[in-house]
Amino acid sequence: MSKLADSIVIRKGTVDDCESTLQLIKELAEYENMSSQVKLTLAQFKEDGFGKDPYYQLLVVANCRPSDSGTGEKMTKLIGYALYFKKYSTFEGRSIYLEDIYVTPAFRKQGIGMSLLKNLAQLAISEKCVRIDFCVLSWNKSAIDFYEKLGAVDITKLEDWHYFRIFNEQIKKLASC
Amino acid sequence: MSKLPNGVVIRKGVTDDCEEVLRLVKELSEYENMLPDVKLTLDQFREDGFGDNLYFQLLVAEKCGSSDSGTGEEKAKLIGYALYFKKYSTFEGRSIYLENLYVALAFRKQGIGFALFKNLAKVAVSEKCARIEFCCLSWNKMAIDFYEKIGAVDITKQENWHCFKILDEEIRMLASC
Repeated sequence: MSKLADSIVIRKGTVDDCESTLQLIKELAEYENMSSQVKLTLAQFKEDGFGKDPYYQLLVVANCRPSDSGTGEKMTKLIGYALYFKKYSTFEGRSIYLEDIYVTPAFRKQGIGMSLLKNLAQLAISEKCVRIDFCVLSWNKSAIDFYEKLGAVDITKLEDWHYFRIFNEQIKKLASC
Repeated sequence: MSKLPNGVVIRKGVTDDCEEVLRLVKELSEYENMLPDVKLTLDQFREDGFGDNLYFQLLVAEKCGSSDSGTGEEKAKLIGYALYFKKYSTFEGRSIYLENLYVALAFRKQGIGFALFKNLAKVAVSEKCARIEFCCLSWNKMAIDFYEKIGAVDITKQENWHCFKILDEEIRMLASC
């Protein structure tokens, strides 16, 4: 596996990373042609990750570079993230669900995506999780090739699993019928 | 919505339900032709649902016991369950993932599956969850018809999402590469 450039660090995300991470979330949604579906606000995102009842965990990729001012100061900017949470499989037990993994285009092909997944795999092992699940758009061939090289299996193709969703409006109707 | 049959209640699952729920998990896996994939032990299942670090929550459908002077007393028995946990969507925020929903064959078409879903929807509303998501095998037409009647959308068909998994062996290789 290629070593990360010296200026790049992968670490746990903190509440101060939420604004930059939300920006990257919107970049990813745009790439997926789904920008209009992003309804998350910064306040909610902060609360849901770092409030009393966390719904997700974050790994972030920070790039540290000299600032443009010529003063020798350094600037840090987030260039990637992985957002994940605990899941449960009635087949295997403890699992992780990877909701998003993203590296900004300018920093692709430098081993960063692989490092994020390696970090996630290490977390999985330390939590005794035996499975990582995620979804990918079927037209995203470069992502699919990458995941399949690491041993991921497309269980929609292989086992006929389809993903279903009930949206907010239907949930409210169902709850009150 | 049809009322539940006499003697059937839907309630939160407790530790003592684990053995019967695991039996129902195996019944469901057999129906899905995936019984060999169930590696979960009862101890692990109890720990993961009711120990210090919770991975899932349970709703159970219970048929209450009855006493009949002719045939003797009949114990209460679990005839269905819904296993779920918190999820997060970077589009809409707090969500619920329904890992399993199952009603034993002899008790189908009595509104029990619907009642389980209605209870889950109420949990979603009280927890401010904007989505309920789950997977279903594409050949399971009867289940798909039921889900679509309550407003679920097949987003594999509609939006081209494919489900992927990485299992234990590949996770370990990734963690140590």
